[in-house]
Amino acid sequence: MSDSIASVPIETLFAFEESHQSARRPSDLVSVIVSLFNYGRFLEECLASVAAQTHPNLELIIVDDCSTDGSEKVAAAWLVQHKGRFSRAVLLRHVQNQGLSQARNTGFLSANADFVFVLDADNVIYPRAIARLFEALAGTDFGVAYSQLETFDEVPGLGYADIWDPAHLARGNYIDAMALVAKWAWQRVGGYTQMKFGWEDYDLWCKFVEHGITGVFVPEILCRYRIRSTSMLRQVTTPRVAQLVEDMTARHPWLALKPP
Amino acid sequence: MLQTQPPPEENTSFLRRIYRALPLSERQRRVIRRALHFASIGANGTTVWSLFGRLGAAKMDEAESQALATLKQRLAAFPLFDAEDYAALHADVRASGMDPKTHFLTHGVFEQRAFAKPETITARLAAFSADLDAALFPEPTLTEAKLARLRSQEIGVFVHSRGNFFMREIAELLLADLRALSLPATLRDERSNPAASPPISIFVAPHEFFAWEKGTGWTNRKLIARSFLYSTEQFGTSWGAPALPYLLTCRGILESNLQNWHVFRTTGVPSLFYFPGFAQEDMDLPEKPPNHPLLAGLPKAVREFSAPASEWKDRPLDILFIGAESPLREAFFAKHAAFFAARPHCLYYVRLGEEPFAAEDDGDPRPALNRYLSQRAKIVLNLHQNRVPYFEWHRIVIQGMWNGAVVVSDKCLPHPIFRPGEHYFEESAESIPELMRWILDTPEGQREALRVRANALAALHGPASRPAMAARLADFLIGS
Repeated sequence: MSDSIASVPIETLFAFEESHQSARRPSDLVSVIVSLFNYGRFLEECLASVAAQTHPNLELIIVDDCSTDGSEKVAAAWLVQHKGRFSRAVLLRHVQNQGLSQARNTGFLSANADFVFVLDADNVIYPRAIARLFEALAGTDFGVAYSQLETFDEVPGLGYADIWDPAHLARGNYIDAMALVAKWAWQRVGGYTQMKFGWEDYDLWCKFVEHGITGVFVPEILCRYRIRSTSMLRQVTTPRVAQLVEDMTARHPWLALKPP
Repeated sequence: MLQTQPPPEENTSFLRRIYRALPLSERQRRVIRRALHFASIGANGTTVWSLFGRLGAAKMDEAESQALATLKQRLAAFPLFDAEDYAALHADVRASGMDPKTHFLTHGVFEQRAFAKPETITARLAAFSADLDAALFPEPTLTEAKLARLRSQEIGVFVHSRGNFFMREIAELLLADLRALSLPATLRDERSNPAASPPISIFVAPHEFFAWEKGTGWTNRKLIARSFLYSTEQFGTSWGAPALPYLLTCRGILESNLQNWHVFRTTGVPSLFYFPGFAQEDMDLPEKPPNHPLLAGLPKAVREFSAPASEWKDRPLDILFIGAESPLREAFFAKHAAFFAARPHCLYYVRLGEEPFAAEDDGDPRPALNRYLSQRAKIVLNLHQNRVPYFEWHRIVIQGMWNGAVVVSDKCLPHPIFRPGEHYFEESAESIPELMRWILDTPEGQREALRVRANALAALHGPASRPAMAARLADFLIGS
């Protein structure tokens, strides 16, 4: 893949750093990047679940992709209140809307830790999530650790997570973006690729496969994925999926996706 | 049990190519697979099904007439058929005005139609008593002379090479019982030659063995009539109906579920209540971790745990569940997700895609994984897949008990050996988290857990001990 990781114009709306932070950052530091676009109404629940993690050493990077609903104000107000939970907490804002892939890449570029937890602003994580994923990923050759999900809000259920298996990935994505990613792996594959219609996470796992990077499945319910009928409707329009299947198969010829 | 999907057909017929190319729902695929199954049976000639096709033919030899008569007689006594349900389930039957039972006997059973609604099946099964009656655990009458006679015959234990991987394990455990009596038994699959099958043939999991690929070539009625079938599936699933004609015309049934055993006995098929044992390595609580990618994602404490040297309270996993997806199970986990998320657990919830839940050719690690995790979990959880409260006797319950876990289940039909509150814990699904919290977090619950756990281990001896089970099995094989 010839993807390269670009940085785009951003402004820093909020920045906090522990003043007495030692020169050596702790080896168990995890960066949590929250990508935010017009999800202001869900944001506080999301951020509270990050603050409630049992894993002690966290930095928080919120990337607002130029929201129009005032999301960045909700984020800034929350950070003022809760910054003390983190060794570092920042709120970055794209000057122009760039899309989800760039929002995540911006977060990775700002991250100090070797391990980055990827979280969308409408989702929630259980308190043990990062600690368990960190235990599975740190000190291994895996590029990503991911858990089983609970789907909530309008469609209660379980996710589709299963053991890492390229043959399974070839038939469709079953690993959500909400995962702990090793920064070296993200770097090696050139980060998230801007996809016109979505499936950025699926594309990232496919690039992992092509680079010989594997993932590890943590078979516990640790993360909550919000499903709302409006977002589902947006996802399943047939022409859009047809285009996605075509794009993905062109990018990764080993995929065996069926047209919708 | 876990359900399996038929493997993709190797045959590249027109229909199958279409089947593979079309973007179909799982339900549509199931219907098409059924159709393909019938097509392959039709091509096979002398199958149980073809008895029906040849009913009208004047030329039916004596053996065929006899087999058909037996089938009809046993079906007439089949206690799970319900005329009202049957008419309600099948609009064409109601429209035809035909008597539902007549339709079932002459058409429905061959078309693998559902014979009753799940709730009716549950009610009928529940009506069968769980009393230990003499027929359930007959005194073995095995003599050296009988054994010698049995040893002079070859015994084949058949299991589909691409079936559910737990079926392979069950077949291997059956083999272990036979070999413990020095009987000349071998493990085989559908790829061997049906014409050369041994005098004593036992087919494990007939609902999948006869359904797929070369397994459909084994449905010759003469072969079935002289074979034993080891029934491992519950009534009321999509697998409950298809194997029925085979089961009701075979030489004898090994049945691992009490209520099913009663059902078969009522129809007049010789039936033995028999459930599998354990491999030697279970008894030794092996330290060697299985080669399975799931282990890498579990806490280090799981891999570092020494089962034989440790106490129950120190087991690193609070709860273990391994099972296939179903709407009831999914609703349960979604409702109680926060409860699970707060505790070390292992939830391996298997989605059934188009690929089979199949055994790998050699050394499939998954049964060993299940055992290994059962040795490291405080609680092994049994949740019914559907509305029939089938006791997951082997994979979950017995294995959980044998490996020193405490089994927690939603409401089960009675079992002749294992009783709720004595050998395992039972609650309705909505109250299970509360029960588990009591077991895990309170001194009283922990004391009760240890008592129930000790009872369960003791109960695996007595009438259910391996030597006793094996002796009854040998008796059954020689006497039927």
